[in-house]
Amino acid sequence: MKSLISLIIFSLKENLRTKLYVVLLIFTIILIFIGLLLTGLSGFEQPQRVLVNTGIAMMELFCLFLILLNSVNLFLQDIESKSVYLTLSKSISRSKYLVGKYFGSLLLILINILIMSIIHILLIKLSRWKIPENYYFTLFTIFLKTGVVASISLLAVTTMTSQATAVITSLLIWIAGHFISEIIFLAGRIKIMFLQFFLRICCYIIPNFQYFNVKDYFDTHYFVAKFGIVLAIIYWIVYNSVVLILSCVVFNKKDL
Amino acid sequence: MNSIKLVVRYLMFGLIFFITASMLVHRNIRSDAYNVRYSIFGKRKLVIEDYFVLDSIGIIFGLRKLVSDIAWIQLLQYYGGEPPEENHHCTNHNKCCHIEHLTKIQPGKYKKLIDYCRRVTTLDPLYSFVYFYGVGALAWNLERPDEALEYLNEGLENLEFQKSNPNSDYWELVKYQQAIYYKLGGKYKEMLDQLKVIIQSGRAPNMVKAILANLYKKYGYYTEALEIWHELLFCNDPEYVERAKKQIVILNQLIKNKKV
Repeated sequence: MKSLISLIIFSLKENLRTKLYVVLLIFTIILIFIGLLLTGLSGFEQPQRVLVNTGIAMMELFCLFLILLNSVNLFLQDIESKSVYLTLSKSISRSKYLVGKYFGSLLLILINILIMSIIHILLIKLSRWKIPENYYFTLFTIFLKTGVVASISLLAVTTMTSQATAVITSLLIWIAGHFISEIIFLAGRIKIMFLQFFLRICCYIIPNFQYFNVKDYFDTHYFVAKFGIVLAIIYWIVYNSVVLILSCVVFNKKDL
Repeated sequence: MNSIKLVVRYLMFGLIFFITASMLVHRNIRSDAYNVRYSIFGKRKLVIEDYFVLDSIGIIFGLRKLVSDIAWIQLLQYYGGEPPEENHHCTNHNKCCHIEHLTKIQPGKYKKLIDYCRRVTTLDPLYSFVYFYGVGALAWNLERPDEALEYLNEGLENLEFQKSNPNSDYWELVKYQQAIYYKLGGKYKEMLDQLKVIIQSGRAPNMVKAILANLYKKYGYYTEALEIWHELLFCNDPEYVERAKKQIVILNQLIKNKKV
């Protein structure tokens, strides 16, 4: 357990030290500030909404790009520079190494959401507006959503050797995950049995990001009340566990 | 033996995963209210071709709300600028005044306004303010009550889940609907009363307030019009504040003349 915690902390520190992380963080903070400019363009009719939505969207995008670019890159660098041997030689199994990396990424996401939400809340307060009712709940679902991407990107990076392929695959899964409702709709309409079957299988394999997409309707109490957080968490745990196990299997068999 | 155990363990995990996923996906199929509103394959379509790429990015990256805000700003730019139907360039900006046109009656202008409104609400079907704004502009400024009713019905459909709450945006939209029917039926006094109720609820856009003030002025209710402009004097929008200042002077003069 101690070694796992050390791995998590090591992975987190490794991520925080990169230049890309700092650049992405600064860029996102600037973009959140740009939200303030957009409020001016909104004709003074709905300024708070624009600022809140811009901030939330930027937080999610930042976490996504951070996982896709930084974590994937660091993992491949570890393998290419053979520094992974140093860790693995200290009686740490490959699976533990991977799980450590994953929890490190989760911690990274959590810290980033905290940093950015503090800036965002400050901006909202400075503009003398109220924090929306379900704001913190929305942030939690962003954490869940990007957590799924973190496990997918780990699977992608262990199965593929190129950073670009891993990033593109994870990004495509992210996109498809927002289309599950449409895929279900198509599966219901298509009359070719094979395609219908294929689409239905896709619905199971691709993560359904609609379960975590509270930010689409966080200001509507009716939908938030209908949102099944317990089911979403169960889905999150099961999906991530399966993807992580698959990643461990692939990584255990990999020639380093 | 160990490998068999491992395979069994993975299979168990896989099974749990598929059962949970299947449970959730089927639940998703039934969760109707959300999908009906957000599906882009159903009734809703990306209406303005020029913004197809931007809107698609918003949908595929799960950034509907952010893109709907951008669409809202673009709607304001479209309706805040010169009507695309005429190539008119003003020589004297003060006289021409882009601000005033927002409350002027301009039938036949801004033909794409309904599409711009639909674009925003396709991205975010729960953005009730756009329904208020779009319906107000279409019904009273652009004199296209039929289009306003068409758009209003889309709004009612999307906000139907609020029906049980008498203070909801759904019932606010119903008030707009009634006001439009009064207008179509030529019952202007009732229409004004209904618009007054809408404004008193505190959810009306500044534009609708200005519309009512202008209508009051048109029908000779100067004091009521003055009250609304006084209220607009303290709104955040500098455009309306400027306009309110001008109108207050004019209305005070009209009230004086009336007394004389």
